[in-house]
Amino acid sequence: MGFQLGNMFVAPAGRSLIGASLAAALGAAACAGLPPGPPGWVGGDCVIRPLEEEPPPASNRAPMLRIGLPEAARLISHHADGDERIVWPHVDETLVATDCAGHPVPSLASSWTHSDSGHRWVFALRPGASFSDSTPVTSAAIRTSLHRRSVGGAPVDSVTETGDGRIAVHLAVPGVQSAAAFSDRTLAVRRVTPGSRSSVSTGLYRMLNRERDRVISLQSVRTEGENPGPAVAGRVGFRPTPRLHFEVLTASDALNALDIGWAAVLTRNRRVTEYASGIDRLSVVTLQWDRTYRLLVPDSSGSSSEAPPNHILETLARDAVSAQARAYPGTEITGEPKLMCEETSESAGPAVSVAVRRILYDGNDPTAAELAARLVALTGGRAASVDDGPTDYFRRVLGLEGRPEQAAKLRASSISAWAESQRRSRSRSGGSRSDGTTAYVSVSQVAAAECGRLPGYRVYPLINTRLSLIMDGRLRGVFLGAEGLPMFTHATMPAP
Amino acid sequence: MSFRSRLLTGFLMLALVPLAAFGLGLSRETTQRLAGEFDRQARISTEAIQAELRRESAEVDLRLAALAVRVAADDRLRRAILGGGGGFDRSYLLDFASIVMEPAGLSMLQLQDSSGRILSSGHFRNEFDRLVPELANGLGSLPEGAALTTVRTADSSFLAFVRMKSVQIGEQSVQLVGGVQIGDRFLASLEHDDAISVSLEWPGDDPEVAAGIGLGAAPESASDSSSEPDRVVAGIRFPFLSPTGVDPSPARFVVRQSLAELTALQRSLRVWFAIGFGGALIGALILAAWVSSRLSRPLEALSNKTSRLDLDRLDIDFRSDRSDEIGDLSRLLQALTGRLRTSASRLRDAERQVTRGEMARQVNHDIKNGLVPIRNVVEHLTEVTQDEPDQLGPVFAERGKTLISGISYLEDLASNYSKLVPRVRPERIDVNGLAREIAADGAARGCDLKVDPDVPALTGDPVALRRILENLVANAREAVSGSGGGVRVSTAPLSHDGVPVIRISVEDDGPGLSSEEQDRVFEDFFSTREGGTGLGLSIVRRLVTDMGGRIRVESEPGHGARFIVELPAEPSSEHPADPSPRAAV
Repeated sequence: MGFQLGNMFVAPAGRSLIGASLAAALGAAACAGLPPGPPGWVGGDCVIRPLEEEPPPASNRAPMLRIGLPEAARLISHHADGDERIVWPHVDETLVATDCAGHPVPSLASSWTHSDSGHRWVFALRPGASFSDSTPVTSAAIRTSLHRRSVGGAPVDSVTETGDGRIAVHLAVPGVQSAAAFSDRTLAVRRVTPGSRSSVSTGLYRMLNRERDRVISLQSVRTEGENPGPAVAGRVGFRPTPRLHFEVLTASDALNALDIGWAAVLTRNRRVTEYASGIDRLSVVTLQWDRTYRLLVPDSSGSSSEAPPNHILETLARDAVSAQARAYPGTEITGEPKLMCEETSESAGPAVSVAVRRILYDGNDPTAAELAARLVALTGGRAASVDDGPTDYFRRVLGLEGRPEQAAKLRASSISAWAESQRRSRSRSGGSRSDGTTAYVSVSQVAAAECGRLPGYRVYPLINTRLSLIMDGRLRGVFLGAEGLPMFTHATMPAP
Repeated sequence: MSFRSRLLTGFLMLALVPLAAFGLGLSRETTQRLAGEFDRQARISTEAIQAELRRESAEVDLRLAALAVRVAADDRLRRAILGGGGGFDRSYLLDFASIVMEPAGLSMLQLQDSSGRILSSGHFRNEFDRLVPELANGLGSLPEGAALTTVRTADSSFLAFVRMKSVQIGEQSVQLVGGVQIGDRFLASLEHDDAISVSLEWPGDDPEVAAGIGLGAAPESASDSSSEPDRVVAGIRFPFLSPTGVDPSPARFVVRQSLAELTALQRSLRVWFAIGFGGALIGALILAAWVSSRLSRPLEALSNKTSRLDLDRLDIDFRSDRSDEIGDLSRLLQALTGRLRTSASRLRDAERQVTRGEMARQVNHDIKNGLVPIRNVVEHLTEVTQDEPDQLGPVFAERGKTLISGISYLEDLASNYSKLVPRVRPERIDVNGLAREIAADGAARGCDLKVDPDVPALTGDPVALRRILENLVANAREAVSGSGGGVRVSTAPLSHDGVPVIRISVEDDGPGLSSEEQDRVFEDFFSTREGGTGLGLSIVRRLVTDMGGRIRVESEPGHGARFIVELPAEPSSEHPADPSPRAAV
């Protein structure tokens, strides 16, 4: 039988960074069924598969763990917010990490303090903190990494060294009260290798090789004990750190991977989880709801925004998509990744009555394609995929195609500000978008980034989806890290 | 227009007019047969397309029938349709059409309930629950049970050839609407002939649909690809279902036939006809030129000979062995020149007579003039004798000088006349002996002499014959002087029409004569030598003519020359031995 946690994931009791709602959502009942973590594990409630007391392996050769990723993942950017974000925490570190419940835990910084206003944060770096090429982490590297970044919506003003070996981060505006704000992946500390376009990180792994955007292999850069890794992992005694092989799999490939004994498969496809549930040696852990699909309808479409019937939402989640989905419940997902801001003001309900000429969707995302197809069936028009990958799709949504300077601006500043300037520009010129009747099915990043304030668009949440982690029965040492995503840094799986 | 041109034109007309008529007739007949064959090909293709559409309809019907059996036998599907299977079976229902559509060889498949609600869609999985009763109702109302319709998917549309089957599931009547896509490949499968193209026209052409499936633009592209227009040979009507039901204006499979091949064949035919006609024209032209040339050449030669004829050149030889009209004409001209020669001889005799009269008067006058002083002296002496006899001696001595002077005048006069008019004495001449003498002479020494002992004696002026031979030999030696060539003299007996003739040839290895020089070599004052008087051969020709003979020259430039003199062995009645002085010639 599979090991399924329903729609909940293991969460610690007590402090809640993001809000009490998360703690309420993470039922204690779910935790009750979990075995306790091994001695030394911090945040043991985040452990899915504890390490077992077992004799050291006969060989010190690091095992290879093969892990399948959902087919929408694209292994192209350290800062991407798709399902590939499972991979990067194995490579990158931020000053502060969060555990599976969002609590701040030491990472590159072993401790921290902050001023009452939240303007100034002082971090003590982990002793011996270094990049994967063994160069030490300096204040200059941190300054470069945080340059022009925002922490919890507050732009970084400066990064200085306090003189006692600690790093002080000054924010332009007050208000950041939790160190968890420093765990955003955009704040990962990296250093560009001189003379090359590659960069090195401080995480436990470094990239061994990558095949296009579908396969990536990671290799440990340190021996056990030298770097404790994510704080939640703690020390577990010496054993070879496994090499990790991540590969993007289609639904059918995922079934094959499970059949031939891959260590784990992350999937959104409910047929894959249904299949795995019927196999005794496989365990299925359903992770938190992490993604909201929305329909972006331009104001210029002239369509009405009548209240949608609830059964449409139900139909979308139940019948239209193959992902494990639910109708948008009317509240935002707490753990959903945010690109630029955290506040939301979306209006609830899908705009199924709008008449659009076409609906664009990310061609790499099967759920987006299915939603677009269903909306087309209900409203007319045509669906059209944008196969350029999430980054270009993102730019296309905001009209940034062919405008590299604007795209750079997008990375550097607020999307809202830029989009607002575009709106004002269009208003001055009296023009309108040539594709005024084009709507977009979007994953969470776009709408979330705009916090519901995307100028010229009405944003209608449609469904939530989530990942399932399917593990081979022999896999041990898996825990949930930031955003409730699985970490394999200390995983092991004996040979059959 | 010359005789030759007329011959040429006539021959061409004779050859080309029938040929052109034959070619045009053949071309017209072939074109008609080709067009007929293309018409037949178009009819056969149209019938084949109609048969193919019927076969396709039957094929789709067969596939839907097989699917209907499967639907009826699928318990899980039955539960889902009847609504008792829960969410898991609903998912099975929604995916059912997608799963079975392609294995069944269909491009579109919908399962609809009796109200027209889509239960499962293979080509557009997420269009479930749409209410589209028009499609099933329309198909049910068509006697053929098949139609074309626009099938919509999430991101495109396509045309499909659809049929319908009904399956009873409990109290539900489930309609299976399925079909195959109509696209370039389907239309290409209808084209059994390279010259046939099939396009499709349907009501309310959706440019997006047309562009998506490569239809609609077919006629334009066909006309663009070739400068030869295609012709529409048939329009096969087929029912069309629009979203609102059966469209009153059906779709049409437009069968076009490319005329490119026919046009190419006709063009090729015309080209080959032109080539054949041109070849025949050139051949006929060459043949006609050759024939006309062959026909007119003797006449031309006769004309050239005649043009050289005059009173001084009556030795032109018109003899011919031809037995046709041209031979007759040649013989007539030969006889005519003979008569002309006789007349010319008589004319010369008359001239001689006149000349003799004139000379006699001159002699008379001159003698009288010479006798007057003598008469006067004699009469004076007679008077002196009678009147003064004693003075006779001194007077005689005084006038005797006058008397002697008058007698000397008469002697000089006689001597001069004697020199002026030498006496011709016809006598028998040993031609071979004369030739030997001349060959042994200092001027002609070194010549090769070849005499025929059968050459008869010749009656005539030996001085004239000597002058003839000496002139010819001298002329030959001058031609070979400095080149080391030789001179050959030969004699031979011949017979012309039973008349014995003596041929004397003088041949040299000199530079020879061109045809123009041969024509003029016997003219007065014509010479090929620097400083020559041009009278030698002219005098020779006159002497030969006076002796009743002929002279001609045979030569090629660079290969020497041969002068041939033919003299009658005995003087003919036309040329009696002329006792007149040679100077009168």
